[in-house]
Amino acid sequence: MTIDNEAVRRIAELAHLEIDDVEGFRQQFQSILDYVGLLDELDVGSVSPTATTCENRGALRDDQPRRSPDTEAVLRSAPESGDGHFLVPPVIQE
Amino acid sequence: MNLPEEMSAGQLRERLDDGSLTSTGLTGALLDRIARVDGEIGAFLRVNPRAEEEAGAADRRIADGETGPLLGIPVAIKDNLCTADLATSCGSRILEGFLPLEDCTAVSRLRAAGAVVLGKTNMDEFGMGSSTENSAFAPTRNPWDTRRVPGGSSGGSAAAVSARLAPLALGSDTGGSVRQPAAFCGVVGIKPTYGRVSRSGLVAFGSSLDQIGPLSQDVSDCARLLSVISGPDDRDSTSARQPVGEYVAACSRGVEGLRIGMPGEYFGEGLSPEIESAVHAAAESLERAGARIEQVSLPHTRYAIPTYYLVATAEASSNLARYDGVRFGRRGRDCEDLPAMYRRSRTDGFGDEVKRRVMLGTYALSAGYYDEFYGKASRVRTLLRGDFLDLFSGGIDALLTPVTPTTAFAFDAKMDDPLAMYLSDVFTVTASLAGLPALSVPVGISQGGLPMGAQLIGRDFDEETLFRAAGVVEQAFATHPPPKVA
Repeated sequence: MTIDNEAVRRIAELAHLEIDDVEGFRQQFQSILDYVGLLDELDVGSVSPTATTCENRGALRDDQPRRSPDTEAVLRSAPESGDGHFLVPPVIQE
Repeated sequence: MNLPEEMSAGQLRERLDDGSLTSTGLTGALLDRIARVDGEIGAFLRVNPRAEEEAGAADRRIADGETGPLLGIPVAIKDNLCTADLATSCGSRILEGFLPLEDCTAVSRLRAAGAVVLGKTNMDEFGMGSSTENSAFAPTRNPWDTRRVPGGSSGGSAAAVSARLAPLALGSDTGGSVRQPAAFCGVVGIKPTYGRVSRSGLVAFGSSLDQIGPLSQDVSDCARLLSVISGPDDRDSTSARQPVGEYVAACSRGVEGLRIGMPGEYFGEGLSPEIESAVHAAAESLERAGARIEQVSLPHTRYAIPTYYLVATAEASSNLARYDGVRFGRRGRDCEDLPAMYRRSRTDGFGDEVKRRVMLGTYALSAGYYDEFYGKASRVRTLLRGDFLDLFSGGIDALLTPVTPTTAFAFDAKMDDPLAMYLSDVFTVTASLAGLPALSVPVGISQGGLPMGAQLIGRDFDEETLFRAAGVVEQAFATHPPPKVA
């Protein structure tokens, strides 16, 4: 699998990241991809996937009402807040 | 006579219970020692300003006649474990200023047991690294040789225990992040079975791999700490209901009749001959104590690293999507709209390795590539776990391997080559992918004066067998004085 600079830019967009040195990044990325290509040696068509080794399928607990965290306490770590809300830049332009 | 700061939790327990030491005195002595020598080591990102107050509360409980394995004992906490009202940064700029509302379950169990939160330890950003060089704040130095890394990502926790800045520490392990720094710093560390310790309040990296684990001076201290933090938790749907074992008792139960396998794949090219012979010496000690050592095979081992770096990065890219500059941490400045704010916050807030892994994971999960990368890796994961299950169903009780191919490496040795850094995890990622418990125990000091470690891997929820074997191995190696620090 080879990866080009255009693909690096597209992945960066999906990941909400800006990459300055696209070519440098591409080279490191390529060497990692070449290495994971080792898996192509295996025929795993008939092997079922493992997403987790946890065996609690559908673990549920009883719903119990409890107090929500205090609004001021939640907002104390926010970069910008006001009137009990998180503030963000405009979402809808006029 | 050792100073209290240098004692194990087991020794401290006796002194606290017989009244010859107070938790306040001990905690104060450790804080003094941290102030004096941690400038050189860099194990802690911050100490807990309320540590002495918590110690005072523990002293009152002791005076009231209470006892318990950790009552009054200070514990250092890796900075990806949420601590109420004590900053939790994960070694990342993006979480600067984040004050958790609650303790993670492991820490709240420590507090209930009367342990004192001493402070928060340095780590590779979000747990992504094997040297703690990826911390956004400062390097941590190996107490045995300050020109070398302590390992990672729980490098601060391992260095704190090794330099006797804390008798115990909690770390977390996604692909070796407790075991590898334990080996590099000459301390004991365990990654419990997936599900043994609740992950609630552990900042997520790879959710199907992450486990919190103790680091300690000796094997029974490790067992003591694990006993307190283990067990089911309603706040983590993946926490297991299996009963918690008798870990402390297991440490002195011996290994008579156990069958311990040594997988040939872990003793090949690239392994330091000194580490190889130290692990063989550990095997001989187990044999002398009545275990049977057998040569075995884990045939898919060579596929573990590529599988790990697809599974872990895929999970990370999804987990780290929450860092968007809205609710906590750092926000990019002067952004014209919301998408630009997300992009700027993440670009400024994440370090290079985190970006690399988020990118790789995004790619592995993206339309058109999912089957080729994440899909295939999760199938290989089945084969990797199958290798172990085959041996266990054939009667093997545990496996003995090296923890690392080399002793602690120098700063900057692998920073320009991400792949070389990934390969340093070659012996630890497999147990993580398989969800199995794995323990790192010191097996002596190399000619170059650096600690070496052996790894024991066991069946699901059979930490007891690991403690039995580690207890024997520990006895076989002369105890080395802790590294000289200032």
